[in-house]
Amino acid sequence: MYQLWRDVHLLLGLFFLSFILMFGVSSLNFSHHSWFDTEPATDEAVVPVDPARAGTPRELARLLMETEGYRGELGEVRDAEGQIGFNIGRMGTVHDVAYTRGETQAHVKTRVWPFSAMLTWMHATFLVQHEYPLHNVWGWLMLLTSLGLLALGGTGLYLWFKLKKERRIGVVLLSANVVAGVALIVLLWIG
Amino acid sequence: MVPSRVASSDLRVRAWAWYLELSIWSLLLMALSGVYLWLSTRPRHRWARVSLVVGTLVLVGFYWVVR
Repeated sequence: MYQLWRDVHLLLGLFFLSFILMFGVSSLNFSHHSWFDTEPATDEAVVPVDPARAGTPRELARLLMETEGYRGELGEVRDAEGQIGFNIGRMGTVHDVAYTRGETQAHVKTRVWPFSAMLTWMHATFLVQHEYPLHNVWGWLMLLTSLGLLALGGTGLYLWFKLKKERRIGVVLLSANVVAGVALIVLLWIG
Repeated sequence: MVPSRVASSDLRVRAWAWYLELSIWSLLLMALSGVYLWLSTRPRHRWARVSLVVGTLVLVGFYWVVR
């Protein structure tokens, strides 16, 4: 039994290693902004639009996806007094679109974030109800990773507990962690 | 709530920030020490290699496609 769980722990750990590193490094990015380059590269363009196919923000977005190859989901939609504005965004890339009804062109500002910032996007993107299918794929991968981490923790606890000579120090560390974590959560919860 | 809140005047928030900071470094060290333990004990474990390659390819592949 011990050998089985040791193998499971090894295989799970190696399968999810890149995901764990992604979470760890992106967490550092959240807490130490100055260590990383997080500014996006910006590009502005004027793109042709067929007014007959740009009656609504969604129609215009679909048109731009088709003609300009933009990918992502529609967000921050504004539609008032003949002015349409929205963005088409996916992890690490956002196209901000501004268009005046009836015009034959739209202004697009594209921002592309660097690798380190991309990791934080991945860290913060979850759920499986996005318009953009790849974000849903990522949501399922995050679910899988979460389950993998729980299994990794569980098998790790089992393997540690089987090592009798390391039980004492393990119990001390585990207890200290649980007490500190729960106490902090309770203190923050009660305000 | 992230460790950048270490500058908060609320002691509880600062304590939570340091707790998270410790957690992040622990997570990274656990991952790296796990790799060391694998390489120092069973580096030729075939399924371990397969698992590492497949898991890495899934993440890198996703990154490449979504980028």
